[in-house]
Amino acid sequence: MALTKETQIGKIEVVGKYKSVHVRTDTVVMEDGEELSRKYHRHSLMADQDIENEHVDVKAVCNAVWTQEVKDALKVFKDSKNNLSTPI
Amino acid sequence: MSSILKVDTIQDQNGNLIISKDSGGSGFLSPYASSSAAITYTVTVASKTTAHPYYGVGSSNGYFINGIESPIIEIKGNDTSKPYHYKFDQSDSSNSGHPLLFYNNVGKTTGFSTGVTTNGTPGQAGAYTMIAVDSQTPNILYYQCSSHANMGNHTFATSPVVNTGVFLTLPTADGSSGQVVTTNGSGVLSFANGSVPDDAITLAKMAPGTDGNIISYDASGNPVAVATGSAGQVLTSAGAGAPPTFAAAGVAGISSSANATAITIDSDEKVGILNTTPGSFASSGNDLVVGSTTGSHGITIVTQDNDTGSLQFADGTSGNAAYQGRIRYNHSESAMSFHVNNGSEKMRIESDGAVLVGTTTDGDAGAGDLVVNGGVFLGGSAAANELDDYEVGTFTPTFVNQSGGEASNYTNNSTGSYIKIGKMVYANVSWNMGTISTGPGSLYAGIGGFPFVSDVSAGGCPWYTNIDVPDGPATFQISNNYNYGIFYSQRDNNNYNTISPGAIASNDNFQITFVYKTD
Repeated sequence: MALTKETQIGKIEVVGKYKSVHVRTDTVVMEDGEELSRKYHRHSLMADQDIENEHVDVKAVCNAVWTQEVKDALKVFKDSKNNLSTPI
Repeated sequence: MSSILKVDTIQDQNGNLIISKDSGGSGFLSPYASSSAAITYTVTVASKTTAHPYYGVGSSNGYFINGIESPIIEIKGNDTSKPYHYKFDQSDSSNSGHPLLFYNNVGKTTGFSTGVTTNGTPGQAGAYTMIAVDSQTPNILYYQCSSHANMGNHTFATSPVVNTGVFLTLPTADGSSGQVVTTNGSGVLSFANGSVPDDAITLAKMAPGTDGNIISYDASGNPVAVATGSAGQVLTSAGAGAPPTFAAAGVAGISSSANATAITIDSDEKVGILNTTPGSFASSGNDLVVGSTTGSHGITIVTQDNDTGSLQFADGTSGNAAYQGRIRYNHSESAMSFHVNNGSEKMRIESDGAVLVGTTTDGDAGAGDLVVNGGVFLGGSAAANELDDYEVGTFTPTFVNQSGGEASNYTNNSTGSYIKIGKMVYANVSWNMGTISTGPGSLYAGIGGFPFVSDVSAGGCPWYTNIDVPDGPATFQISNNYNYGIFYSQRDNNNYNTISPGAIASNDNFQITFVYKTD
């Protein structure tokens, strides 16, 4: 009877106009290969964020969808918000 | 030079007639004895003498033919179109009361009238009985008085019609080899294939056999005995070339001990099991009807304890067509699954009672749980009725201080948790700033690391007021298309300021719960 715990990229979703990426990291506890529990941890990524430390699968998705056009569009959008120095 | 002896009668030394001119003799018979030129015998009646074959029997009187006491009379004739006529003249008064007729036997059981004519009254002038002799005249006819017994004798003719007590007409043509003589029931015999009339053979006429055996025929058509089978067996065809044999009753492969109707197949080939009227049920599902309206009934599919049992729906015989739809129980998993559209599993009931829809992974689900890998539509089937997600998890809040970027000059002990219901995210942050090693940066203070990017365009940006940050009540706003929120000092809609990053110092703690929509 061996208990193991591993993390998995459970879900990668691309949403919205600016191709934001939702990443779900699953922590799975298994006993002899049979899953006992699964916990979720989330983070989200916008096209102007650093993905250097992301999972390779996440990087692949981000690089695929974050075209320069998307990045430029997000920058234009954020600039229009004046860096949120005023409420929106 | 030849000589001819002409005599009318030849008698033996005792005076008995051997041959007479009047009898036709055994030689030539000419001229043709037509009805108008018949060979005529004079008949008289007188007391019998011992010369009479029936002396002392029957009447004491006898017929005398041309003065001869009741002789055997040879008559001749063959061609039915040219019969020879023999007239027995009974004009003599001694014939009164003694009409001469012809019979099958001396006892006069059956009269013979074919070709026989009578005229006048015996004993009176012109009285006679005449017979036309041809091939249909019996070889033996008894001439007798119709009123008295044993007065005459019999005629003799060479004829295919024999008198054996009954008149039998022999066949006029030969039959085929092996044929037998048969009768038409009226004494006419002919050759025919041998046959036995219906009901003509009785069991008593059959040869004894072996107890229980029955008779069949081999490939050559010869009778053979079929050996006795076991009790309850039935006779079963072995096909051409072999006699039948006894075998287990019923259809091969079907065992039945039923003592009442268990299976009914009606005229439309609808099958009922414990139901005698399968065709009376809805035609969409009456090909096989199980059970009745009395008591409980059911169908059981039995398999090995580590295998599967299935109820399958096919529209073809190969590939997925053979099981487009399927209900299957997996005994090794103790799970029931439902398959549709090319047999793809779409729903499962796990051994612990968890119900899985659209997935085969039960994860943490257990008894009573419902796992739906898709949306749940409540109150309607429009997209607006769909609840397509529910998720509970954690996230790591980050300190945002510069243009939304994540600050890197601090330690963070903060934790975040979320509940996502459909597109709504319920987030809670327990902020616990560690140590800010260098200046906290500029522009504003905020919390990032959201689990989902906001999509709040439709409903406006949520504001959360009276957030108890160390520098006093603040407003927390989540903007559209961001994954972080910003603190503002709270005054009113037209008077606001961002909170300086420096407002959140090392070791500051606060709680904030907020709700926003994501895409």
